[in-house]
Amino acid sequence: MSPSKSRASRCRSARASIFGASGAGKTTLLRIIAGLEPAARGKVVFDGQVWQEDRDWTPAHERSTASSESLRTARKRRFLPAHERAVGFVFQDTRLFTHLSVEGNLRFALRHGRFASGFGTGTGTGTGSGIGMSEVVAALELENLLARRPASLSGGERQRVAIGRALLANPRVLLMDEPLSSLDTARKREIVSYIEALPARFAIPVLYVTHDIDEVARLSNRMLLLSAGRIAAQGGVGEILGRIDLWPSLERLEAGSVIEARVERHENGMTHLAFETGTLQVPAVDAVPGKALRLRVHARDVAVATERPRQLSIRNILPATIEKIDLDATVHAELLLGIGAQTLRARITRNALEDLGLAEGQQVHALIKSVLFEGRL
Amino acid sequence: MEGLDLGPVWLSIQLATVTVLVLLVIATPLAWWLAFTRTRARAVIEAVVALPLVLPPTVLGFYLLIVLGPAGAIGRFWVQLTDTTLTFSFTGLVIASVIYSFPFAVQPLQGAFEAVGRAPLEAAATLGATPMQTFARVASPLALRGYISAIVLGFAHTLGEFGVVLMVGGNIPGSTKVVSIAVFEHVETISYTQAHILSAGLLAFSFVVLLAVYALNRRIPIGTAYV
Repeated sequence: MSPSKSRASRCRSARASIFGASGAGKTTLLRIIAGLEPAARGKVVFDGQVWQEDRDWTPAHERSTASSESLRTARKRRFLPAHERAVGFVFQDTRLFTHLSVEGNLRFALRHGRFASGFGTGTGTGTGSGIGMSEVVAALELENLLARRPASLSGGERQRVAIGRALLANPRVLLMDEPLSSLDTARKREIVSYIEALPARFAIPVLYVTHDIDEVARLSNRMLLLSAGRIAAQGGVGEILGRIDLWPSLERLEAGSVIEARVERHENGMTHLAFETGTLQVPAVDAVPGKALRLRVHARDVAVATERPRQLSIRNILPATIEKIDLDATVHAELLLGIGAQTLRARITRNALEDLGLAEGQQVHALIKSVLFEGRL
Repeated sequence: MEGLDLGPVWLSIQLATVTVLVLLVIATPLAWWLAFTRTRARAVIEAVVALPLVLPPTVLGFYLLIVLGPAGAIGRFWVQLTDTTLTFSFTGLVIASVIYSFPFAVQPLQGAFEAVGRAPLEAAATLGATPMQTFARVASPLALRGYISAIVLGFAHTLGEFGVVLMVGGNIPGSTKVVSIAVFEHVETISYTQAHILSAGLLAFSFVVLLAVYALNRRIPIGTAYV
């Protein structure tokens, strides 16, 4: 496994996810970026600053003066220690200090937090924006927790404190290592809304590690797909999740697609979502008309009909074009359906494929049984 | 009944105090290294540190006498430096006591640092704390119990040493005649009353100290260094 080869530092968008199955190297990659894996080889560059590098290089002062034989190339290693890298790290297990109160934990970050520094080309100074205590306490609703001991907090509360503590160290990028994985569904929902608001509220990019595809779709706009320690793909979330060649990498995860729609109107407890080629009705979504939403649709929840069906409980039917048929799967076939400029994945049996005589390029109707996820854009 | 000479008592307390201070300075970095190193040399060092636990004090004292004596490597150097001998002096006793009590300071500290683990240290580093700040403000408070054990056990064990002191320090009033030696001397001279008083005092003190350690250990939670 050599995640150090990854050029993850290139992901500059405000919210990026590192995604992959367990053991793919997601956490290791995040730890390398943070400087917590000193033994790792490779290069880490953040915003033009070299944080870590090992390669053959000649010191500048020798390069300028030297004749060719005295030019010495040495195996040099540069490694900026973790405490000098301007990262905030939210650990899966929170790692709050038990000998300090919640406030003590936050003040620890405030006291030791720093502006960015790095080797070489970087400016060596941060933005100086300085995230403040009151701002963080308000954003994460920590007022009532300040006097408490970390051991007395619930899992969700701990994670909120951990996020606040990481922010108060004034990092230039926030690294989050599966912060939701130890929480139950209700707590997850609670924390997700806090995390969702971070990049905009604190003007800080977030790099988010997860093995949960729904979190990727909700919390990021770009993603890096890791498989066995290597980058399988990187790009926009919708683009990666729609790529048929990546399905084997996503195999253990719920196959599906991410599509965008606009809220048209609310009616009878249902929200109407507009696509280029039609309308979807979903149970009421809390968003004003005109707002763009991101939807996640599992491939198994999409069926295909050659004629527009009637007398059917499924109400969401969109005209679509079969762009690709993938027969690699066992008794199933995976279809990539074009809906306007967007793509939707469908999973049907190979028997159905043959009975209906489906072929690439054919016009069909996509029957969408349920839309499982929604996220704001 | 002749007046009781309290000199050996004060000397023992002085010796134990100085020994504990030296132990903390030396044992802390070693315990830290043992707790976090991944080298195989660790087992060798651990074995060497534990040697005073199993060696008869006379064996340890014999070797120390050789090394610290005027003909020994360290002893000769000391004579050149100060014009006094290291053996049969208070300084020599401190050196001997530090070695004799070394495992009693290193082992609790190592255990405490291992219980703290890397996790909170990494968290502190990502918050911008330097290794020294992390040690002072995160690792040490979390390892408090280890420090208390090391101090108390180091102190009590030094008070109780006899064989090593006899070999290295002898029986010089005000310089090397500590409580345990005094008790021995009183018994030799059949002054049982004095021997009783000193012995009972040491017994009571040792019990109180150990009781305090065990009671405190219950009160200071250290099982989880972080949540």
